[in-house]
Amino acid sequence: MLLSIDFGSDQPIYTQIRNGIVTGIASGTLKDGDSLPSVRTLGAEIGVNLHTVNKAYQLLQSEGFIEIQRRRGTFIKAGNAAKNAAEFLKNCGDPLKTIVSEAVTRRVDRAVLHQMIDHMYDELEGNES
Amino acid sequence: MNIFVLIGTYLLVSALFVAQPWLSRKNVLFGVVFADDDVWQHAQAAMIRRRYLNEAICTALVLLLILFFLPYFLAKGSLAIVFNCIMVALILIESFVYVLANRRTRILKQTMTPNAKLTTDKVIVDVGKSDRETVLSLRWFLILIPLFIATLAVVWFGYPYMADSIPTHFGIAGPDQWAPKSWRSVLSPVFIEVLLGILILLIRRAPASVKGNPNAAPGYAQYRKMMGILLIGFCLMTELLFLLSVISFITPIHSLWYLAISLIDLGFLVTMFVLFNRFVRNMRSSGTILDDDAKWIWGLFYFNRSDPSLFVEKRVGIGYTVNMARPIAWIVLIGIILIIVISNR
Repeated sequence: MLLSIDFGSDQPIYTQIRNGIVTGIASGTLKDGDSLPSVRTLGAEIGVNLHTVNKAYQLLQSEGFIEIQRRRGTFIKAGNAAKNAAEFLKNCGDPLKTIVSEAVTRRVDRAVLHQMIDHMYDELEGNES
Repeated sequence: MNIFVLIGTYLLVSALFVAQPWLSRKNVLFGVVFADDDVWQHAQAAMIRRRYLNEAICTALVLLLILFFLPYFLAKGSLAIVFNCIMVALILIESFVYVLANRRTRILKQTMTPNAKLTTDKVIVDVGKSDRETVLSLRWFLILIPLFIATLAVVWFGYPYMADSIPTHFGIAGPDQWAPKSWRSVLSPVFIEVLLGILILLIRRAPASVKGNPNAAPGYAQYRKMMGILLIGFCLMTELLFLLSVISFITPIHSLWYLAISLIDLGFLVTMFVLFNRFVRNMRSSGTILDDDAKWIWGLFYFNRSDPSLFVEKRVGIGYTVNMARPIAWIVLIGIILIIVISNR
């Protein structure tokens, strides 16, 4: 899976790595058991500090998307993430509220936003089959 | 020293300098990266190349003439000193000529219309590949262990039986320099073996000199693996050479052995050129390319604080170079020089 990193973005690089891998899992390009490059290799390839990559991997592991095995490497293991869905829903309320608030103030019809989300779901799940 | 060896060394070094424009990816010219290979056909780029060739060849010829005639005006026996001075001058002047070409290329790049494929802040990487696919496995290093232990054993148990003077330098036809017997002089082959092994370990993950997306340097991971295997082969031959040399401290070894190892090493060198040509020079890069000219000082030295790599692929030339922004890289460099100096004394 290709991961795009933008050094000029406001988003920290570890967040970009984390988000990219989550999108990869959602779209089905990264499947359970697929291995990821080691922290050293990915750091060298992007050209960023190893701590940055490590931070992203640790975050992904704590969120249940990947599993870091000391000797064998890092693997996609999204099974745990599904179990944490309730916690995710609790956490995503705030950022979602910001987006909906902005949509309301800009007088965006709720159907349009719904449609947008549906479209994203279709796109990600369509690739999965 | 043999006069033919001197001239041969001189010609080889000058040829390597003259060949610089051909020893990089086609979208890299004198260490400056361009969006695609078309720059090779660009009229002004061709002019910079011609000018570099003229300057590099002239420098080599003028210094060669000096090398030929200077010894006649000097005292006898100073040939080695003259040769060393001329070699240093050759390397310095040719490097300067290269830096000039790098400057001209940078100016040319500024005058060209900016290409959208060249970006300074975007990198696309492939996260779908594990290290097993892209990095040389550590198992390959196991091949090096038996001969290493054998060498160590011969040194350890054979020390009392060794002659009082130990060969420390090997030419094509065997040893040509000697030192008095001491643990340091007999162990120097072992130091150099360890050093070679560490160096190969360090280049296992060396990133390509052109980045931006996986197709910026297509096939690079395989090339790096093959280079690693080739270097392990070279290391193995060096181990064999050292094992024979420590055995030769005890009992004489036929010089054919040394010749055979030199020939195999020559084979490795040729293979390296072939691999480079096949997997680097003739690969066409595509997609967005990271414009990181600022990280390549004079197009020669890599200085990138944010890159964790100690070693990276050379931008111009075959092989690897250090990331000068990493203090550990400096320590490794100084360590190499120290070990070479100490073991050559």
